[in-house]
Amino acid sequence: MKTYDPYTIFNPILFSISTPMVNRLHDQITGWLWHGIIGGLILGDFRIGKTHAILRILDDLKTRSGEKVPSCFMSIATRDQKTIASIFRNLCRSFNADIGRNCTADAMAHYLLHALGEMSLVNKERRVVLIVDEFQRLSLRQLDAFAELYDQLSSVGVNLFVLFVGNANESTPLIKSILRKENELIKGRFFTVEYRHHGIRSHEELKLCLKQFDEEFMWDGKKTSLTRFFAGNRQGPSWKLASISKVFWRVYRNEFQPKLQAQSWGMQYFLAAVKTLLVDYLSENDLDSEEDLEDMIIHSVNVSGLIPSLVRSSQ
Amino acid sequence: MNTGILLRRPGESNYGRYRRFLISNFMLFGRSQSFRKMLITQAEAVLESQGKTIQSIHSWPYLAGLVEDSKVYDMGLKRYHYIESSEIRGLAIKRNCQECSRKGYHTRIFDQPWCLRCPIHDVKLTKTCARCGRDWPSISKMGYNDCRGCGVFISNSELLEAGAFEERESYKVFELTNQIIEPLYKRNTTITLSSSSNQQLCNKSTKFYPSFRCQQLRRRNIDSLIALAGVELAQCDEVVLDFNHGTDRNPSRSEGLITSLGILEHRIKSQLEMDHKLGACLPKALRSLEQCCPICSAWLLISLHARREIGGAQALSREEALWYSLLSGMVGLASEAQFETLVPVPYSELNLFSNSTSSRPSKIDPIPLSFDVSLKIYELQFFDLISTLLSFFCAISEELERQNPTINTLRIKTRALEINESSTPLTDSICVSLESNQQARFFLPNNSLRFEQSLNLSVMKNNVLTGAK
Repeated sequence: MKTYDPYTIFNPILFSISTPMVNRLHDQITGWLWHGIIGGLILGDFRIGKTHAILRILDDLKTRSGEKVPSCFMSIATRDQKTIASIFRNLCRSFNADIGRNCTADAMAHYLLHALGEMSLVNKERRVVLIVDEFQRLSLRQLDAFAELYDQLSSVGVNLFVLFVGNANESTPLIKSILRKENELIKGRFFTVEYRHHGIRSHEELKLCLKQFDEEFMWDGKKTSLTRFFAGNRQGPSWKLASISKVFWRVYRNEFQPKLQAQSWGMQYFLAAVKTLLVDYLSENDLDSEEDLEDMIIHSVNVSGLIPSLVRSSQ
Repeated sequence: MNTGILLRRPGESNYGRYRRFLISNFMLFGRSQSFRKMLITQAEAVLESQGKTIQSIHSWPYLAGLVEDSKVYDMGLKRYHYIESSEIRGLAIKRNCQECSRKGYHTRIFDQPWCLRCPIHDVKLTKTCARCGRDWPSISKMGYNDCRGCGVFISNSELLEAGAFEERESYKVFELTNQIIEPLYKRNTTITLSSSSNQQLCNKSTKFYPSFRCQQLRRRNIDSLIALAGVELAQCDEVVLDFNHGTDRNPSRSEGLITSLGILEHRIKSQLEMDHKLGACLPKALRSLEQCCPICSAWLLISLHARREIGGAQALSREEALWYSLLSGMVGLASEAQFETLVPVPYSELNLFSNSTSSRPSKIDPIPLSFDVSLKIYELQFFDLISTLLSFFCAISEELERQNPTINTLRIKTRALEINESSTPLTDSICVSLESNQQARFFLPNNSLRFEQSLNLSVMKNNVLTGAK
């Protein structure tokens, strides 16, 4: 049983849970890897947890023979210049290479070839995954940087798999230009497959997510769970958070989804709502009636930021 | 920082290892201060991870990718090796192959006096870089060298053009050779004999073993025999044999060595470990050849042409042939078809013993036999010769043991290792004549079948002698 600090729940960057959506994403990427696909695109709405999901599965990617597939993560910033060199520079920095301003793209490509090549030696298939987050901030020309890297690595027997992760709406212009006929080369190389990542879309998914809070772990030499740790005193040690999943889903479906018309419940907002519910309400109040619980859930979701105040005021 | 493992090839030297480390990093960093800081930080981390005291690291720390395991990415700090500046700063190489250098490769074999040509590229090893005309740079000067042939600023396209990332199987011969030579390096530091004791040894041994001729028993022979017996200098004083013929005189160290030769044949059987087997033959062959050897400068291709009057030539099994060729350094170059021409040479047919040892019983009558074994030697044929000799000794000693454990005289006469073909083959010993045109010939005596024919050529496999009986 793993040891875990329950107070990690208050760190939104560090805290994440294993969800069925993450598992599906993992299966999808593994499938691409196993089928020899060399690039793919993952799209999703904002704040649904794409980056968290990707980071969560990074270390679990395996080849068909069960060997680890190493990966490198880079995120495109808006302030970056829209040049190929800036991509290489960004990538070099992700390898902790302290490089100066005057480095040429050739020199950086040289370094990256060796860096990614060394990573690939971990498995016999010589595969390495490069994840490019915030895909929508790339320019079309910058995609050539990845093509160049791919070509160079191919020449030394390394199979680079480039996974672009982007916001669905904001990526539309770039995707449209990629789909133009003159860009078939890039499209055929990296954009033959696409996956839509979602937040919570069903009661089943919500229940599985809540169950994660009931999972036991070791803390301070004792067996506990997040539910028991924060709400155990008030609700009893055997009480499970997953037991309120139906009410939780009903409240979301009736009170919030119609307002937002969102396809899914973003994980950031969901986790924030559960955290508030667990730490602030369930730890302090008894569950006397379902109405009380509904009120608690509504308040928790409201403070999670799911519906921004600007949105509410306009309604 | 990269380790440059993509450029790694088997059997590389420390020089090569450090150079590939720089090649993989210098294009980006050069001799920048930021790189220096990174090196220092990394070196400190490496030292700390090894539990070593962190010295004050000056200037440019020598940090190299110490990876033999290809799974370098998972090795963390273990993938780097920190070397004290004082140990490595002046390290220079004597010779290198221009083609290998373009790939960022160097092996210690190239610095051996008997290795004159690159076995992979079949080009002469040079003391200078053909591109810039300067001596091969020392480690400390490497970072300042911008020559594409011997420096560290080599772009990927140039590396690709040089085939730096391509096939590396054939380089395994260097790894294997290094394994063979390694014990020799160690032995050289432990076995030292002064010239006076050499002479003494020669004189004594002539008395002790009349069949040895003083001229033959030169230092290299003695060393190799000592090594063959697995005798370390430190152990010599413990050998108690009546070398002094009943006198009270304490035997000198040299005499102790000679005395130990008396138990040579008894030790052979029990000391078949790789180290001893190698130690037995390598110094002898190496030192004999080091001044006059023309063979190691060319790539090897063996063709054994047996002309036997009895029986049929038994071809090597495919596996044997592959191992044979591996030992010969032919992997990657010789076509498989060439293996078909290889035939085994039964040890029994190679008479390494004096005919005068009539006390040794032979289970079968000698059968008239005559055949020539010609070794057409190209690069690293030498190592095949060594491995063959190793196998000879082991099989012979085994056979000796089997036939007559009480035998106390083992006369292995690798008498003639001559440069000139005109040397007359002896009737009772194996004679290897090395010609200046890089061919060697084993001259074998007639009527020399002494052991059972079923003891066939054995090859070294996984450091274990495998011989079909």
